[in-house]
Amino acid sequence: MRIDTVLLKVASRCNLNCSYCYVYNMGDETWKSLPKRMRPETQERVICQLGELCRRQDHPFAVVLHGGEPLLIGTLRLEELLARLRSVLPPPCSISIQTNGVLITDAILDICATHGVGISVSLDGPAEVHDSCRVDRRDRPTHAAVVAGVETLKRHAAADQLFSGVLAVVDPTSSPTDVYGFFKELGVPSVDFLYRDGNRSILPDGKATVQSIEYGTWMTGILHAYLADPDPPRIRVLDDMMKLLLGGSGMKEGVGLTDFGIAVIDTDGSITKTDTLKSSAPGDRFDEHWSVHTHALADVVASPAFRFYHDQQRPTSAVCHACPHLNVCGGGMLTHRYDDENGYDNPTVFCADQKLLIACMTEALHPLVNLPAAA
Amino acid sequence: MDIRPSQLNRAPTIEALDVKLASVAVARLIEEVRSADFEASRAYNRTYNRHNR
Repeated sequence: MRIDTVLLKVASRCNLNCSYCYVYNMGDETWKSLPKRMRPETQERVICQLGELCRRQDHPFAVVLHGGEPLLIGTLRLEELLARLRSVLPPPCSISIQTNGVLITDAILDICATHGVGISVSLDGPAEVHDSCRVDRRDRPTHAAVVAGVETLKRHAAADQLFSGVLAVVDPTSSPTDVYGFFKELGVPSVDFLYRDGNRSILPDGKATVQSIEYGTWMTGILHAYLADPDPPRIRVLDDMMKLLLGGSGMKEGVGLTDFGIAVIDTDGSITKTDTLKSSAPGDRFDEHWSVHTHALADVVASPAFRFYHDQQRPTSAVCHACPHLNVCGGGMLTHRYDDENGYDNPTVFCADQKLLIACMTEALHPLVNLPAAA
Repeated sequence: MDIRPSQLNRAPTIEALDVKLASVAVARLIEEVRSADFEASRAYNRTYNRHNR
């Protein structure tokens, strides 16, 4: 087992209050008891331990500054943090920031460029789509501020290196054509579309039943626009799924069957499970409280309890095991498989959506990929 | 139960990948699969980052 991704929660608070946020608005309240910012002594422990993990692991990994909103730590702290991180994690280890984009400035971009840090911005599409959920703490729209941040990013001399792309949460009631056209016009290099969080007991917003296909239908609209585009950006989730259909491999958590290794470090130095589990099982923690102050990250990652958590990503449902699409779907994200009766021993709540999307991809890729036999 | 081998039986042959498709997005993916281009993930500049958020 190896670590691919370490989410570094440098800020436990956010300047936005997005209605669908799995950190703040889906039942988990851990953030209330965490330091608002990672303290310098914790930060230094984390950096040392990441360096040690890098030395002990035979494969590079990614560190993602995450939150909350990571840019809330301020420019000076960011510069110090990135310089120290890069000193222990030289390329090919990647360092990136996942931000809501509101606080992007040229000074921040200069710092990121100096240290080879990528920036991904959360932006859901046109204003009417984005602002329906992504509002600030006074319930005010944020689209204009985020787009301004993206424009600042695009104007930077090192934009090609800096701008990783955008993460967009799907609103299945919106027009996929309009959303695709918006991102094309904005000129983003890549988009990763994310389904809204939920599970089989608490359905994601916009999904009427477990069997309904609102998300799959919406994504097929994006797929058709993507395949017809003579100069397409990258769409990570579609690329991953189609590469799997073509016999290649995917990279994204929740797609395909390649194991991923994700660890999260909270602002107090706690080492925890992947944060998206907060949306389905707010109490799902390691039995032992691990912290960079008292434990070595590399030892935690090598422990049986971490191995058990790691192996939970592998789908267990008999329905999944019998499904011809499992090598592409991968059973979906662990958090989306949850229900109150069986825990994670279920197909993803988006099973019907993924089947529809995979069927459309298979048809589009024919004859490269065999169409399924008629029932 | 080890599900992987039994689920990886639908991969197309390299010859099949020679079929040309009009879609730029698909042609790009075919080339990456053909060359087993792990580094293609750099196109997203999120190398090694597998977190889905």
